[in-house]
Amino acid sequence: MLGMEARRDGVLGLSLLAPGFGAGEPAGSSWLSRLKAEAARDFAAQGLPTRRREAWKYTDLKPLAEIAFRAPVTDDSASVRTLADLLDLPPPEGSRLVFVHGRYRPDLSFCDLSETGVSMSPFNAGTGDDKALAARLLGRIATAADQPLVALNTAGMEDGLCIHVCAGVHLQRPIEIVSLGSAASEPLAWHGRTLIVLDDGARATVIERQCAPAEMPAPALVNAVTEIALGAAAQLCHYRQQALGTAGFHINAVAAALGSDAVYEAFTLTTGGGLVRNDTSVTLDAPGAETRLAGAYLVDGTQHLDTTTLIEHRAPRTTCREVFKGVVDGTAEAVFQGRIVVQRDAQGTNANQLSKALLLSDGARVNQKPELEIYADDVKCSHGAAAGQIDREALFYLRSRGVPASVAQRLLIEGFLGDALSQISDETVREAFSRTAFAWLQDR
Amino acid sequence: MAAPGAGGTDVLNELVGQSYKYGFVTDIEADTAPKGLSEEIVRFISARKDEPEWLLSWRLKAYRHWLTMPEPTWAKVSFPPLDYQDAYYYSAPKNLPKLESLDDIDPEIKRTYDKLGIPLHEQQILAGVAVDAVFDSVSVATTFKKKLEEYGVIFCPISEAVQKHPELVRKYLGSVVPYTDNKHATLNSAVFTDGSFVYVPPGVRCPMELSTYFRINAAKTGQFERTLIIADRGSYVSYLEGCTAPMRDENQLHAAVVELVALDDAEIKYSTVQNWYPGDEQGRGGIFNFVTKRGACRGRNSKISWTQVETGSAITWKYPSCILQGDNSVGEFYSIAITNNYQQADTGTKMIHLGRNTRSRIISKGISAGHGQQTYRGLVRVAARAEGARNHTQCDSLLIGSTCGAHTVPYIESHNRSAVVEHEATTSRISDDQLFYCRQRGLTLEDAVALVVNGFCRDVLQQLPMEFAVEAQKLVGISLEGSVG
Repeated sequence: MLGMEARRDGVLGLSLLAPGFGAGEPAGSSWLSRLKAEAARDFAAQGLPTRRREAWKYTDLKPLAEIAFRAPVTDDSASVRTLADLLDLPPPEGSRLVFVHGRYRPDLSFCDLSETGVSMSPFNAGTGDDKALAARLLGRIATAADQPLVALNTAGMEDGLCIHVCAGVHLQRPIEIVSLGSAASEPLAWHGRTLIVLDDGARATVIERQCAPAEMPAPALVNAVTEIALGAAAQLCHYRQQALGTAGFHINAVAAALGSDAVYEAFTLTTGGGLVRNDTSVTLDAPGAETRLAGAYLVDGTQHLDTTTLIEHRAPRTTCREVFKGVVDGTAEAVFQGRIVVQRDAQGTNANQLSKALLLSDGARVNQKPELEIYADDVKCSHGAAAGQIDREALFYLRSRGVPASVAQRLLIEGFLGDALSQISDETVREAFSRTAFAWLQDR
Repeated sequence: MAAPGAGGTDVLNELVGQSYKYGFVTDIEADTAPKGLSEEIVRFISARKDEPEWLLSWRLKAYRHWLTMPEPTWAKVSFPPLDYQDAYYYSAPKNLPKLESLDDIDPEIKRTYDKLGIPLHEQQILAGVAVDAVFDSVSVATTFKKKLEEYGVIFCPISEAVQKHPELVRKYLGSVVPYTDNKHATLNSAVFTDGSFVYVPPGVRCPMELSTYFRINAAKTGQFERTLIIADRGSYVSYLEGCTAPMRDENQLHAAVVELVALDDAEIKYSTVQNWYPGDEQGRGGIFNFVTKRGACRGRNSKISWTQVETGSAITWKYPSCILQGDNSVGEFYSIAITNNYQQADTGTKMIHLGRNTRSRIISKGISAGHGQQTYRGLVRVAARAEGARNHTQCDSLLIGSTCGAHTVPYIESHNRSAVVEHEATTSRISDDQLFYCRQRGLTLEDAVALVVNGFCRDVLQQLPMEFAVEAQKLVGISLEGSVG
C-alpha cells in the first residue's frame, strides 16, 4: 500500500496515485482518506523538490529518486526487540511510545498511567474528542499544498499518533517517542505522523528519538511530520535526537502554531543520517507567543545535514530566539536556512537568530542563509551567521599549558556547542544530549 | 508610531510631499532610432558607432542569446512585465560638437548641468575632477584630457575606445560580465550605446578622481551604458559615478553594465551616487535601474572597492560584486540604500573568494520609509582552495513608518575550513528615546532624524571621496527627514 516506485526521471512515488492507494484505512475515517487523497494529488502535482526551488537550494534530493523504496512489512517482533535492546535506551522516565517503521508497537511501549489529563492515541482509535481534534487539525498546521514532502507524508502516513494534553494540566514526566528502523535488507520508506495538542495552560515535555543501527544494509527513508498546536499560555518543550544510520534519508518537518503567551521550546541534536533535513516552522499567531529553537549537529563522512527554520510573527509582542551550532568533519556538508518573517501587525517583535558552524576538515562545507523579512517597524531583529575553524590561538593557549592537542580541540568544541546545548531548559535532557555530543567528539 | 512632539506629522507630510527636485526636461533635438528592438536595431546602433565587425557580431550573439532568456524573477521586487518593443534604444544629441574646452558646450546642455548643480568649472578648479559628461548616451565633453594623457591614463567614451584602443576593449569587454550573464546584462551587451572607458597603465596613480555624470534625457529612451575600467599592474584609480534624471510618467529601463579589472597590486575605487527619478508619491513612473556591476581582482594584492548611495529609482536591482581571483586580493562593498514612497530596492553584493588569503568586507545600511520595500541580497562564497579567506558582513536596516519593509537575504557558502566568514544583521527603527533626547536639547525633529540617520550611515559615508560625501550626505538628509513623525 505504501510502496513507492522511483523512475529514472526523478518522479518519485507514482504508485501513490495508483488505484487502491489509501485503502485499508479503518472504517469511519472518510476525512482521513480524503486528506490523504488530496495530499497524493498535491504531491503528484509538485513532485520531489529540486534545487531550483529556493527552499531546497542547498539540498539535493536526487539520490532519493534513484532508489526504489518499498513500504515496510510487519516486523519480526523478536528481531526488533533485540534491536531496541541494542540501541541501549535509558529506562523510560514516563511514557514511552515505540514505533517501528512508523507503526506503533504496544509490546515495546510503556504507558505511564499515573499521569491524568493526557491522551495518546492513533488518529482513529482515540476517544470521540480526540478523533474530532485530529480531524480538525491534521494537515492544517503543516500544509501539503506547498510542501511536497509534507504531501508525501500525508499521503503515505499510516495510523499516526495524537497527543492531547487537557487544559491546565502540567505533565510531570516527559513523553518519549522512539522511532526505530531495523536493518532491513531492502530500501524501506515510512511516513510517521504526530499531532501534539496542548490546551490552554497545559505544559508538557516531549522527547523524540529516531534510531537505527549504525550499519544498514539498505537505505531507508524516514519522512516524518509533526504538527503542534499550543493553546493560550501552553508550554511545550520538544527535544529531538536523530541517530539514524548513514544510509538513512531523514526528512523531518515540524510545524507549530502558537496561541497567546504560549511557549514552544525545541532542540534538535543530530549525529546520524546520510541526508538529513530538519524543517521547523513556527507561527506566532497571538500576542505574547514565544519560541526558542536551538540545535546542535555533529556530522562527518559524507553526511549532509540541512536545518531549515521559518518563524512567522503574526501578532504583536511575539518573541523568537534561535541558536544553532554545529561541527562538520570529513567531507560532510551542513546547511542552515533560517527565515524570520515579521508581519505588519506584529509590532513589538523581538527576534534573534544565531547560526555558527565549525569546519574541522579540508573537505567540510557549510552553506548558510539567514533571512529576515520585515514589514513592521517597531521591531528588534537581528541575525548572525559565522563559519570558521577552531581558533588557533585558543588551541595554542591550551597546548602551552600542557593540554594534549586532541583534548584541547575537544574542549574547545565542547565549549562551542555548549552555547546551543545550554538552551535546553530540561536538565536531564541537557545532560543526556551533551553526553551524546561529547561522546561523538571522543570517538572521532 | 507616536510623534515625539507636536507638529511631527506636519513635518512628515511636508517633507514626504517634497517633489523630485531634479525633475525637468531639456529640450534638445535627438537623433533617435525607430522604436523597438530587433536585429536591425542592433545593427543600426553598431553602424552609427562605426564599430568593427567583431563588436557587431558580439552584439548579435548577445541579442540572439537574449531572446532565449527568461526574465529573472528571484528578486523581491514587483513590476508589470517590460515591453521591450515599446522603447527607443538609441538617441544621441544632434550636432555633436567636437569640443576642446567646456566653454564650447551647447548652452542648453550647460543650463541643464547648472540646474543639476554640477559646477563643471568649479569642479575643475576646486576638486581637480575630470568630467566625462554623458548626455543621453553620447559623451559631449571631456576635460582634463591633457593632464591624463601626460600620465598615460586613457579616459574616454567607450565608443571612442573601440576606435582608438580596440585591442584593450576587445581583450577585456565581456571578460568580467559575459554576454550570457543575465537578461539585463545581455540586453546591454546587444544594445549598449556608450559609457566610459578607463585604462590606467602600470604603476600609475591616476592624478585625479575620474567622474562621469549620466543623465537620461530623451523620453522613452532606455539607457544602456557600458563602463569598462582596467587598472594595470600597480596602478590606482578612483572613479565617481553620479546621476539624476528628469521627471517622467513612463517607466524607463536603465540596464547598465560596469566591468572592472584590477591586475597585480592595482586598486580601483568605484563610487556611485544614484538618484534617478523614483516615481511620484503614488508610485507612478520612475526609473527601473537594473544594473550589473562586477569587478575582477585578477592580480595578486589587487583591490576593488564599491561604494554606493542609492536614493533614486522606482526599482533598483543591483549587486556590485567582486571576484577575488588573485591571492591576497581585497573586495569591499559599502552601501546606503534608501527607499521611500513606493520605491523598491533589491541590492547587495557578491564576494567570490577564489584566491588565497583573500579578504572582503561588506557594510550595508538600508533605510526604508513610506511604502518602500528594501532587500539586502548578498552572497559570500569561499571556494575550496581559498585558503585563509576572510569576510565580515554587517548589514543594518532602519525602518521608518509601519508600512515599509526591510528584508535581509544573505547567502554564505564556506567551503574551506581555514576561512572565517561572519555575518551580522540588525533591523530596528529610530527609537523614540533617541529622538526625544535630541529634541530635548533643542534640535528640530528633522535635524534629530538627520543626525541619527547620518550616524547610522557614517561607516559608509566615510568611504566616499570628499567631493561626493557632501552631496551624498545632503541626499540622505533630504530623502529621509520627512519620513519620521
